[in-house]
Amino acid sequence: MSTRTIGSHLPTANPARALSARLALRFDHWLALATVGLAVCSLVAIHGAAPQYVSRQAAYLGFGFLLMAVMSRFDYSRLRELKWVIYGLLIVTILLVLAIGTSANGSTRAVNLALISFQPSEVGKVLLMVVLAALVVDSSRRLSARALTARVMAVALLPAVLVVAEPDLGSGLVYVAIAFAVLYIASVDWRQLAAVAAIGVSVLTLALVVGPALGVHVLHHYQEERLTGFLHPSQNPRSDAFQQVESVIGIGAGEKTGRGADATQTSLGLVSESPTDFIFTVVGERLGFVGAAIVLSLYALMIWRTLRIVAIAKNLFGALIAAGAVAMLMFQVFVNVGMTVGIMPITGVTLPLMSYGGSSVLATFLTLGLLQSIYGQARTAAAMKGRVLRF
Amino acid sequence: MIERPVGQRTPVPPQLARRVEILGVLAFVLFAIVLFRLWYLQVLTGAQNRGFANANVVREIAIPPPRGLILDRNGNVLAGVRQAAVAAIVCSELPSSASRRASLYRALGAELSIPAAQLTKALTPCDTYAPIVIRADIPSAALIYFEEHKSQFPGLIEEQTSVRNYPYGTLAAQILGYVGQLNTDDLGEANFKGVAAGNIVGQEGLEFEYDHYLRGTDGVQRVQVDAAGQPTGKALASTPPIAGDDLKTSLDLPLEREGMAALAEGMKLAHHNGYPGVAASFVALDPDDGEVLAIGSLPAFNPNVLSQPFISSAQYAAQAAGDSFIDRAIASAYPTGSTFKPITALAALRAGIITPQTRLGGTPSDGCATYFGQSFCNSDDADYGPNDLDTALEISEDTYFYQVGAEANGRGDVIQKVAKSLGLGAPTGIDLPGETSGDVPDRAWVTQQDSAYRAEYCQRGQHNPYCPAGPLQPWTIGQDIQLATGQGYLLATPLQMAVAYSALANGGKVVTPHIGVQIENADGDLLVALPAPAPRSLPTADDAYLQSILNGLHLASQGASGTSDDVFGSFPRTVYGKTGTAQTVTGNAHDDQSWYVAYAPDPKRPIVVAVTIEKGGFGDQAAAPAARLILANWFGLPERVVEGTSTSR
Repeated sequence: MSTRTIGSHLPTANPARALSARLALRFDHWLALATVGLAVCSLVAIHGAAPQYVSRQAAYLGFGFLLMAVMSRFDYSRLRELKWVIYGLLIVTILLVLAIGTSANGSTRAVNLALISFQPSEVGKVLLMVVLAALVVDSSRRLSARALTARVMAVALLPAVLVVAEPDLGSGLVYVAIAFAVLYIASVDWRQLAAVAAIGVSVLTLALVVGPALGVHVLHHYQEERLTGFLHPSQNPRSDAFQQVESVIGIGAGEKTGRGADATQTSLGLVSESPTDFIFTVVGERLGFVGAAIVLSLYALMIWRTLRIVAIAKNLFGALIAAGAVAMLMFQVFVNVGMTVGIMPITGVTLPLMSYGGSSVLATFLTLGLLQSIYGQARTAAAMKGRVLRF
Repeated sequence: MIERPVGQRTPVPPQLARRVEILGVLAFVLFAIVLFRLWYLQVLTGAQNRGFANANVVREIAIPPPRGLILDRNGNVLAGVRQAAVAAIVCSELPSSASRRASLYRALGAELSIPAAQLTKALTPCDTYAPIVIRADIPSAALIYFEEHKSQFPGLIEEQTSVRNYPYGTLAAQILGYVGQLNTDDLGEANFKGVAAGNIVGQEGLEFEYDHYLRGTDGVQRVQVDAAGQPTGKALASTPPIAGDDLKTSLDLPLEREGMAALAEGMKLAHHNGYPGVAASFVALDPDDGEVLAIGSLPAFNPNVLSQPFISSAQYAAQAAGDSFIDRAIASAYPTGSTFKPITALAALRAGIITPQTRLGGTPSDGCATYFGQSFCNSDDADYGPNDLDTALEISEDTYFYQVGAEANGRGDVIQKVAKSLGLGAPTGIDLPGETSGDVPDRAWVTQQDSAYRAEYCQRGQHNPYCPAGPLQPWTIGQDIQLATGQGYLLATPLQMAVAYSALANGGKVVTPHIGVQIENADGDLLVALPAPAPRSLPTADDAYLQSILNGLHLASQGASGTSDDVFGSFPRTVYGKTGTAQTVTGNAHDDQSWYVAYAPDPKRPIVVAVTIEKGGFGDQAAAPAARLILANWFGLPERVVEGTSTSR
């Protein structure tokens, strides 16, 4: 047993008891339950939509659990001092994609490694939440609140702009959401948050409405269409807006208890991205309202536990990382599910854990591992101070 | 959302806890929105969305039903169904490039003897899920070729399908009709209400008339397709087609076959006598109830060929040769010649112009009578002297009837009234499409014809010698004289003559001829009775007159001097028959219309037969022998061709 492990400082007479206490208590059972539940749901849904992907997804999930277990035993606080290394890694991998990446569907997001292709923009979400949390913790004493806000936004926007250029608009928006959440939890003044939000809204308005009207296209045409398409559905089967219409029909067709093996929208190609971005449509069609509600409940559980970790983190760094995780989870869940039910635009955001794909799954597990680490250390710290946490 | 720790609090600033709570509320609101949306989509409008989803992937293919049979009076099949190997095209498997499709159609057309242009037209656009049948009865050579060169014919399938079959080919072709796809022009037709374009429907004859019963109800095969429209192969619930019901007719197959053979024989006799004999038709009726025992027209087409999905224009022309589509028994009206004389006789008796004993027709020894300077002569200018009605009918004395016609002229339209009351000048109401009404000319008729003529040809600026009155007016005594012998503007169909003779034979009942007896199921159980309208009755005062006329008709066919005695004298049953040799508008003797109308009584199976041969010459020489063959068949007597020699009209 390494003496560097925090747990070894516990005032416990029996090392064996200390070990069992660490293993038994220092992870959030509820968060783990939600994780396992969603992993199972992912396999069930992918089995329905595209059985050929089940074994790969199972492998990703299995590796993810391993990664999460390792991360949960890792002292996240040590990442603080590595923030610029991590940030460098983030920027370099994204640049690498732009330079040598392979493209899919007209978009270059992945780097082909020996066996798998890897999307740095997904793992970049985790890296960014660590970097931004560290930045806030390290700079909050030195900088004015306004300068801190500006710096955090600047650090987040650089990778965001780069991934939007891949183009991976969804991840770019997640980066911005993470930055916003970190600032919010860092108790940045409401007025500054409002100003940041106003700038964000203005930029979006410029890109989507004013720019195209003037003939200036900041985004690709298809991105503009995706973002605005849910407002005017299309009948062209190749268009994304059509996908969304078919997704809404598919979910509706699931009715209360689902169509099971009789599902057609997600199994006959009407919703073509069903194993990835439209996995929730598969749940809705095959398992109905009951299945969709179960999946949403698991996400609710996951987000609740993450918010709880924000609240109980032993230090600001942990709280801010957890805040980034909350932002990532909430943004992705609501934007993705909202897209499948036709109330949000199509942004290419995956549904955490559920969507088929290694990078997304691993990024989520990395995040969950960090959350478990923050939770575990919070428990330990509380125990050391003689406090008892109910959960 | 946030569970506050019990007891001591964790070391987080109150502001952070507050913000976490706000974030939790936000998450709660977002979850609520999504759940409400799901509730709306899946519970409130779920069934509707399920319908949309099904419509996306379920394609309904109509399964054509086997068509009902057309049966004769004894249940013999006149129009049936058989299984055939058909070549069909599956649209979704055709090559996508237009040039490859064009070369495919050329190759297919060459193998199946279908013009490539016709194929291309029928298969453009090719967007149905049901295979499109392009050829029934694939020639075995083509079948082998397709088998050996499968890859060269993408989209081509061979399948067994039930197709219409007319086992006797040209037999009663115009009466049975044929089948074919309903084209868009005929969609609005009342007969085809509710039938989709492209469905197989009856095109003529009984197939058309009784299509509603014969066609059956399409089944539905439901096929699941994916987003690209490709069938997934998943079996969905299908509805089998409901076969059409059978039509039982009054036709008698042996008589029908003999009737067609007799027409051919009559035409042959006409040729033998030096007449063109281009076409012929006949009707055999049960005089008591109007049931059509047999009916036919030559030349005829082969409905098996016409019912093919595609036929080349050369094939069509070969089938249509000699205007074969015209059912001459009901759709061609001819001058009737002397077969009209019994009608004139009835009119004269009823009007009191003659009694059966009145002797008329004497001529100043040259066989001709002169009215207003115009000469009207017997055939061959024979001089028969004055005769009573029996003899006048027996020898078909024209001058007798000229005199009657001249008398009738002063008394109004007496002949016309009787002719019309016997069913001439109007469709008989037979259950076949395309019946013509013929013409019974009278004063009103010429006035109406002339006004129609003037409207068309007497516009200002047109110089026409017939204007302004018109070519037919005024009605003259000559026209009544002509009418009395079935000439002039009189036109009648063989069916109308058969109906008129039936009334003479059955005691004055004018029947509505009909072929359909009942609609029945495959077991022969009655589904729908098809009763004919009740007959119209002539005045009972006519009974004695009818008997006189029948006496004359019996003498005409079997009396010593009868015009057709050489044909029927040796016939072992009583026959009441009359020859007719009608001059046509050309006035050319070679174009004379040969007629014979006869009644043969029988307590159980009486029959009236009308036979006419276009450009067939004298009635006794062409039509009468044909009529004898038909009667012989009906009564099971030896069918012997007995040539007539009488040149009486």
